[in-house]
Formats: sequence, structure tokens, C-alpha cells
Amino acid sequence: MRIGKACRPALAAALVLAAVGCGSGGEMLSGHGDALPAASDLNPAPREDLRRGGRFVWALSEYEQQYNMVHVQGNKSDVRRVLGALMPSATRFDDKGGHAPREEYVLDYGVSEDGLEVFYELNPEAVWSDGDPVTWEDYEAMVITRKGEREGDFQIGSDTGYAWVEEVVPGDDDFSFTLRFSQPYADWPALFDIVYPQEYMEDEELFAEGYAGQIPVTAGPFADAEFDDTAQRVTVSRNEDWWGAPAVLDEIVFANIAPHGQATAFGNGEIDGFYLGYDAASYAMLRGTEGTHFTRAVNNGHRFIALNAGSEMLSDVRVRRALAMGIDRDILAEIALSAVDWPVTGEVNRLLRSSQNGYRDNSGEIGTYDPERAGELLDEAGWTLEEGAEFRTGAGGETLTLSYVVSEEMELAKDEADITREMLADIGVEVEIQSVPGNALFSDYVIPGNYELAAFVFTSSNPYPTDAQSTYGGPFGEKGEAWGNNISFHSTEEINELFDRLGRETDPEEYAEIANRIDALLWEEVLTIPLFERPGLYAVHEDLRNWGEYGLAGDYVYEDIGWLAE
Amino acid sequence: MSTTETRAEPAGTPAETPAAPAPPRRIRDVGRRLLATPRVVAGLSLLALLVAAALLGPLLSGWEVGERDYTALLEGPSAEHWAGTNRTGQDVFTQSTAGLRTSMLIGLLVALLSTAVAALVGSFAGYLGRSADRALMWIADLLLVLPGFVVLAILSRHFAGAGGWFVLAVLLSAFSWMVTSKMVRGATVSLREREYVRAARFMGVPPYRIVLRHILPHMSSLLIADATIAVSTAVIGETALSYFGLGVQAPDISLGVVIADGARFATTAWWMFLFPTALLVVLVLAVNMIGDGLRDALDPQSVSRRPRRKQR
Repeated sequence: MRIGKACRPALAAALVLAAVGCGSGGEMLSGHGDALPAASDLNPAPREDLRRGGRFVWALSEYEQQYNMVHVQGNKSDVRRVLGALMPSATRFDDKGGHAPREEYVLDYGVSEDGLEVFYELNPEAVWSDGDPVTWEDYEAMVITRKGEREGDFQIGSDTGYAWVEEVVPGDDDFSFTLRFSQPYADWPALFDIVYPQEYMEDEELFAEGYAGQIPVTAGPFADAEFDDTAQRVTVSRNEDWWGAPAVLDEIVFANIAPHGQATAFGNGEIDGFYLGYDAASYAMLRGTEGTHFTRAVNNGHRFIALNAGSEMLSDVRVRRALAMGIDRDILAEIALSAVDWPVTGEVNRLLRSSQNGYRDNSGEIGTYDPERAGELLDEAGWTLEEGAEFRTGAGGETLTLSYVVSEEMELAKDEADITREMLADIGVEVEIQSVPGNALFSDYVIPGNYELAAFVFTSSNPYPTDAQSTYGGPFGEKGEAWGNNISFHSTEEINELFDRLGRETDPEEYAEIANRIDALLWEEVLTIPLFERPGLYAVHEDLRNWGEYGLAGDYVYEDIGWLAE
Repeated sequence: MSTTETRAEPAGTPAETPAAPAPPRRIRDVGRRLLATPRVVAGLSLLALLVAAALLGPLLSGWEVGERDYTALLEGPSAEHWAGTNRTGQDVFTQSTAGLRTSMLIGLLVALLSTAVAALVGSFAGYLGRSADRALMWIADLLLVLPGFVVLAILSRHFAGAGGWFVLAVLLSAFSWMVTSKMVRGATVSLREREYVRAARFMGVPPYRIVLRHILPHMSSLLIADATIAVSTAVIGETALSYFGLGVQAPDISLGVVIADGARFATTAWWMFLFPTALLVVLVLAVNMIGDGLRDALDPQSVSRRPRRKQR
């Protein structure tokens, strides 16, 4: 379903650059207006059309070690890709964010009127690979460990949602229980996104080491994870004892291949699918090849420029607003997306995706390119441009210089930084680009706050914006000084309060309204400058079905992935 | 006594034949011999074209270095963009020729610096001998065993941005003088015992003057040929470093940077890769042809062979 080479007139009025698509060769494509990406694109086929058996080589970009996702080191998307085939979870989301119990594990669940109780009825057929049934005690152990109540050294990544669980009340048998909350939690289906056997949550050592470099106990459509440390591959094969619909594939091979090499590996037939994103060179290489399906759907993530509001230069909100107005976001989106024939909408939302209820753009005046106004704001903030000078200086004569950290492994990031440097130079702001190794970008620069500007992507594995509370909220009052996941090092009481309300809100319209208000407030405060919604662009072998971009679903139905019958 | 000195000094040719041609004739001779060699002529004209391209290219194309044309992203050659555009709409012709200029400058600078260092170190080591010789050659040996590329890669990161490409040129020279210095030292050792050098020594001329005025001019031909070859080595070294992102850093631009930018598009957007790579190949080829011809023209061994064949 590639967008053809047709040259369509630009419909998106907001986008100045939209009209340029029809260049000399008609090479550059624009799918503006009528070709907005779908909610998901899994190249679907019904199970009966698939050939039973076969092998799927799936390219990941890291060879992970810690497969306990609750552990602080294990919360990575590549880990989830592997564990999705192997481990239980309570909810199956659809590509628009709707939810239903995953019946292989949870027959039924629901929330009480007041929102304070959630009941679960487990599937008694569910068994761990060691023969034990999956019972309410496994779920209880998850809650106790994740909310941090267990004695001992458990390094927990996140306690969102679990922190509000007061009590796990057992039901009539081993296969039912009820969660009691201290406050209503609107996004309760996000709970139990993964379940481990009880003993791995209770024992400190098993917690840290049990799933490190191995996956000993499973309960999914696939089983028997084999680790090949030399080839850096994880192989899982069909679980013959699976109580649900049997997996179509014989095995899935998760191969670690560096992102730059994935297109070549795909072209050579070494891998059957990979996330292409906005890698122009990979796309150019593969676009003409026979038998390649490019997925076109909404990805649950957006790209943005993060601003470190905790740094000296950016602590003044007027400077941050000036930056947002001095950067032409349309150009940055065009550079990234046009190379992969992705529609440039000029719209983006930090909390909601374009396929979600209530999605709208809240950029307003601050998100509109206006270098003149940006200059005025900088003047007001005390950064003035001396006659004949290239860059603005402050009261003490210091130059307005910002350091922009960029991963040296990502071509697009380097281009973005370069273009941003030029745009900001126009409003008298000097940008120094600091190239750093990809694996140090977050650990050494962004997370400790050793930066002023940096561009990257936030993704989420569930459709709920409440997850972003730790990203945009702040420590106020009794919460202390730690900023946690908030790498902008700034927030307001109002933002925090709205996030709390969002978590309690059960009416979908009001929920979307609050999410949009938060997004608008984040624009006012300029914690980040969102650029565009990340493209859900995968390159997939044409005959491989039920795999690709899952949109807001957050996971695949692994047992349905398979090769089309001849 | 003084006659030996004056005769040897301006001649600058191996004093094997007493009937060495007079200086002006010799330069004219070399020049004539060079121009009679087709590859030197070809090399020189190629180089002239490249220099013209490097100096005038960015002015002629109508695009400024680094300027982006957002209406033409990744487009093939056209009337507007003679060699197409890259991913962010920069004109490949402008970028390549601007990169060529930096690469040529670095090549020239490195050749001059490294040859100068090699000549000085080699001749003083050879002439002074003893501990000075040992110390200088020990430094040369040390630098020879260090993996130059790796050290440069590490160092260039720390100097990036500060002095731009100039620092890189100095660094590159620091790692490319050793082999030539050993050659120069060998030649000096044999020259040291020549009569005119000994005569100067007995007359009380200080060592540095002897080295600078009597020994180095004597091997100018060797040095000139070597420096020419060093240009192409330096260009390749700089390009390789920049290709891996360790050499010239943005906003400076060199051929290596442009080639690296286009490498992943080599099969899909060929203009991004082909044009700068062709410039690099032609540049190195031209310099090597000139250097080769120069060596032949200046080296008495091959000189005696070539003209004879021509005369026949």
C-alpha cells in the first residue's frame, strides 16, 4: 500500500512547504491531506489463509540482557518485543486505544462504579511452563513488588498505577481477585502489562538474576527462548502446550542487527521485517524492491526537541518561547518525513495520537514560526543584539550559547541539529553542536541534565497519556527534589494537578479535554518543542502477515503472525 | 677550497659528474623534461581544473556553502543543481567543491609541514650523529609504531571546533614525517663525508649552516618529489578520517564529509556519492602523476634513461 508516485496538490494550508512536492522529476511524493496514516497497518490476513509453520527473522537493534521488565534495566522496547511472545498480560488493546481482557489469561475484568475497585477473573487453563497454574498469587506478587512494598533491594522501574493499589483481595478461588485503590485510576487496564511467576517477584536474587540472559519460565503462545550470545539472537519456538489458538509460526528469531545494516540485511533476505522509521537511505534502497510492504500507520510516539529548563540559559520561559518561535518545525518535519513519503501534517500532540479520541494540535502562537516575535521575546528577557554582532549577549556580556547534544550515530539527528543551529542563528542565538556516542546520549547527557537542547522520541506501550506524568510533572511539596523521568527539569503545580485529575477522570470526552489542556500548558511552558508524530513505517516481507505497525495496541498478537499460504 | 663550496651550493645536483650543467640550464632542463612527459602535462592540467573548481565552484553554482534548498530535497542533477542535492537540500556541487578546497588546503599544508619537519629532523640527525641522532630517530621510531590513525581519531575529537581544519592538518603532519626523515638521514650520512662539506666544517662553519645551506639544498629534488607524493597521502588520510566523522567537523566541510554523507545513498541517489568521490579520485590521480613525473625528471638515474629513448 505504498503511496504512489502521483503528485497531489497540497491541501494542508498550514504547511508552507507542502507545495514543493511537485519538483522537476516528480520524484518527491506528497500524500498530504487525503493519505493520513491509518490507526495500524499489520498487513493483515485471516489465520486460515496462513501457512502453518515457518520461521520469522525479526530485526532488533540491541541484544538485551535483563528480561525482567519490572527491573529498572529491563524496561526497553526490544525486551518487550521478545517477552510479548512468551509472557502473560491482562489486557489486549486495540489500535484505537480500546481495551479488552486478554482471554488466554483473564476471562473477565471490570471496574466498580466509584472507580475504586477492579475485579479480575483469571483463566484457570493458564499454566506456567514449569507446570504450575497462573494464579491470583502471581498477580498479587506483581502488585506488592511493583509498588515497592517488599523488603530488600528491588530496583523497580516504575510504580505508575500500582502505587494507588491499597490491597489485593482474594476471590472465591485461586483464579479471582479484586484490587482496592486509594483513588480512582482511570487507566487501570494498563496494569499487569506483564506478569512473572510469584517466586521471581518475591526473591531478591531471582528478581535481579532470574531473567538475566535467560527466560526460564514462560506462559505464552511461544516458549523455549534460546539465547545465542555469539550470533546475538534469541529464538523462541511454538508452545505446543498453549491453551489458546496455536501459533502459526514454528519459530521467531529475534536478531540483533545495527540499525544502519538492517535495510541491507532485509534486501539480502537475512531478515523479514524491521522498523524503518525515517531512515532516508534505507527507504531509498528498498522502495523499488519487489515483495516489500511498507506499513503506513500511526506510531505511538512523537519526535521533539527537549529543552533543559533547569539550565541557566533556559530557565527563563521567555527564552524558551523564543526558541519555539524561532524554529520552523515544518521544515524539520519535512526533512525527516518527505524522504520516506510520509504525510507532513504540521500537527502534533504530546499526549494524544492522531488516531485517538480528542486529538488536536495545541501549538497555538508559541508553536508558530515567528522569528520577529522571538527576537522581541529575547530582547525582553535581556538578551540583546549589539550593533553588528552576530549573537545576542546578556547584561554581563555573556553570549547566548546553547549546547545541542546529538547522537553521532543518527544522520537525521545531525541534520536536525545543523538546521536548528542555522535557524536559531537567525534570531541571534548561538548553538554549539556536541556529537556524542549514541549509548551515552541519555545516560551521560540528557538524564543528568548536561544539555540545553536535544532531539529524540518518546514512545509509549499503552494508549494512556497518564504515563507521561513522570515525563512532564515535577516534584512538588512532599515529593522532594528528584525530577525522575522529567528531563526538562521544570514543571508547574497546574500541570501536576491536571495529571492527577486525568488519572481520576473516567469520562472519555473530559479525559481528552484535560489531556489537551496539559498539552497546551506544556506549550506555554515550552518543556519540549514537538516536531512530528513518529511514522509507523516498517519494511515487511509482503507475505508476512499480521505484523508491522500496531498503532496504539502496544503489542502484536504473536500467535497470528505467519506466512501467507501459496 | 672556497671553490668547492660555491660550486656545490647552487648546483644542487649530485656531484657525481664534474660536468654538471649550470644552474639556470638545469631548471630549464627539468622544466622541459617535465613538459615533455604526457602524464605530467595531464596531471598538471587536471590539477589546474580542480583548483579552478575549488576556488570558483562555490561562486559559480549560485548556492552558498551549507545553504539549503528546502524545495529540492534529494533531487538528481538539474539545471538548478548541477550535481543534485542531498537529503537536506544542500547543493552537492557547491558542497563538493567547497570540500575539495579544504581537502586540497589540508593536503598542501600537511605536505609542506611534514616535509619540512622530515628534512630538518633527518638532516640534523644524520649530520650530528651520536646522541642527537639516536634521540631524534628514537622519536621517529616511536611515532612509527604508534597507530597513527587511531591516535588521530582520538586527538581530533578533542581539537574539533577549536582551530577547525588547521589543527587537523598539523596533527596529520605530526604523523606523516617519519619515513621521509629516515630517507633524509640516510642521504645526509653519505653527504657528510663529501669534500665540500668537510671543507666547510674545517673552515668553522657552524653545523646548522652546513645543514641548511649545503646538505638540504643538495637533496631538494628528493624532497620536492616526496612532498608532492605526500600531498595525495595527506588528502587520502584527511578524507578517511573525515569519512568516519573524526576529521573535519561541521560547519567546516571537506571531501570526506561530503562522501560520507552520500555513501549510504551510493546506489539510490548516486549523485550524492559519485560527484565528490570522482573529485577525490581525480585529485589524487593528478597529484600522483605530477609527483611521479617530477621524481623521474629530477632523479638522474631515470633521467638518463628517458631522454635517450626520446632522442632515438
